[in-house]
Amino acid sequence: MTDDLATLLRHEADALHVPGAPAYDIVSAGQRRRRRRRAARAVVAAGLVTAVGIFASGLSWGHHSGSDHFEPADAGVLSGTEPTFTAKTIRLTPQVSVTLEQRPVIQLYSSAGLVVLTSPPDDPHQRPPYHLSLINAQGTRNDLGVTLSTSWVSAEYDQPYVAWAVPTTHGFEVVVRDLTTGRDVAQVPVDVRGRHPMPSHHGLVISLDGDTVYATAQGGGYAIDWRTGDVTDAPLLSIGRVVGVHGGRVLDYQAHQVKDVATGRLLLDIGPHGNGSLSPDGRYVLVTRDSGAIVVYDVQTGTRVRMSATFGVWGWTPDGRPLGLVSDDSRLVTCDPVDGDCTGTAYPSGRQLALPGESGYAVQIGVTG
Amino acid sequence: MARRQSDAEFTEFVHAAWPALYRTAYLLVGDTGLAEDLVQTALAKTYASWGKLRELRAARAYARTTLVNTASSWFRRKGWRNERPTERLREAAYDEDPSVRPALMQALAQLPPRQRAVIVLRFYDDLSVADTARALSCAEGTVKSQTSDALSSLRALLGETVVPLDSGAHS
Repeated sequence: MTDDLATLLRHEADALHVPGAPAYDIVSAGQRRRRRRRAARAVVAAGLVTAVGIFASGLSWGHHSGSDHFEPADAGVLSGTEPTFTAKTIRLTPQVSVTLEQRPVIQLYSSAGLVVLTSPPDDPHQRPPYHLSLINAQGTRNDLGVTLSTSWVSAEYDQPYVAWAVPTTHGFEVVVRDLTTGRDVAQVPVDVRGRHPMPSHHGLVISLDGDTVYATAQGGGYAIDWRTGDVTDAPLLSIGRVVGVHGGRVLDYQAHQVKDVATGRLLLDIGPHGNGSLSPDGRYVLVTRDSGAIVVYDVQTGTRVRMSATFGVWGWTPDGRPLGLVSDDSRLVTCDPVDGDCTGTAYPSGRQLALPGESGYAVQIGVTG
Repeated sequence: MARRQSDAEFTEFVHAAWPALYRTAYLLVGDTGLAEDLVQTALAKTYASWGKLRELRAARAYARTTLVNTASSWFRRKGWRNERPTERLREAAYDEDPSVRPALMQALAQLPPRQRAVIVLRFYDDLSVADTARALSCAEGTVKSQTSDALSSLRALLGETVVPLDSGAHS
């Protein structure tokens, strides 16, 4: 269902011409209001003295509630500590965590474990060369023996592969490695001469999705079948508009729509929103609202569910549940995308965690105290 | 600890928060001039509390809730009925030919102010029943019944494609 009430409301609001903010008038009005409030407080204070005297004399006194009494109960929910992005410790389970010498530049799910890309431990700016490692469920770290000059890396939550790209003279080469054997299973050169777009050194996003590696650059992208070596244009892809591909689906950040990457077919119109991301399997899309609400859509059915918790930074569990840090009380919550119920535990101050997110855009959260 | 925030910071905040607040206000009151007045009033009230707000995200939430409270106080005013004259709800005829269905704003304008507010807060701002009740200073049961009534009216006006029978099931 793409034509529902919520979407219509968003399009109606988005189409509205918004006049410029009369900031000066607002500040002046606010100053007048504050002066009146202070004057009123002085009067009330004087009145209280009188009231005490009246009450003491045995007379009753009515209560008047002014129009400025409002105190927003929810203001505290949205305030709190911002993520500090200093996590070096990756928490795999409540019992297993791994501490690295340097916080990872990127961390990605795979069925063989967590793939992390790190920079040299002595470089605070996280510059290349980067090294790829695999961390399994027991917390053992295995160096994959791969050194990269870019962070063009992707893995898939339910496959034992990691893909990366290296710049070449005439474009780039896509490499796919089987994490269970440690062997490269594909090396596909992509010659971009005479084609558009031409990726810049730091401007390529790699997204592994089944048998296809998608390479997204500014203004377009490529679909590389790593099993056959076929390379085709993927015009739907463009940095700043569409990046990661999940389950053959993409989130178009400009059109506010989920589309089929192969056909460009519209799957879901979610209307204007703040931020958003697809689940690892592309089944759900999470979006934020201006109100702070977190909403998850089922792409197939269009069903929309509001999450019971509000969080500013989120990732996904490998099985497609939203994972977020509730900033006001440092709770790490996992939400059910079907009923919106979020449960979690308070995260102890002084410990650190990291949340894998979309391919190429892994989210890291550090809670320090 | 409350942080003293300057007029320059507040001005920056006004420019950042204005578009989203204006859109919500327009959906709430259905008129661009009134929407502008509403946002200005809400932001002026926010200015008066600016020194108590710890950070911009809290200020944004404060301003939004203040906007809804201000709108509610407008709705409570005797004689507030700024909408177009209420018509009898027409029979549903729009599923068959969506091109003839009334514009959304026309349909919203036919709702009583409180009903329109719950629709905007729940379906545009995605607030929960509890948050909507808090914002409108009413009981959760009132929000549910107002939502149900509003959806019935909108369903009749816009058709079941836009407002399916299971709309509003989420809390």
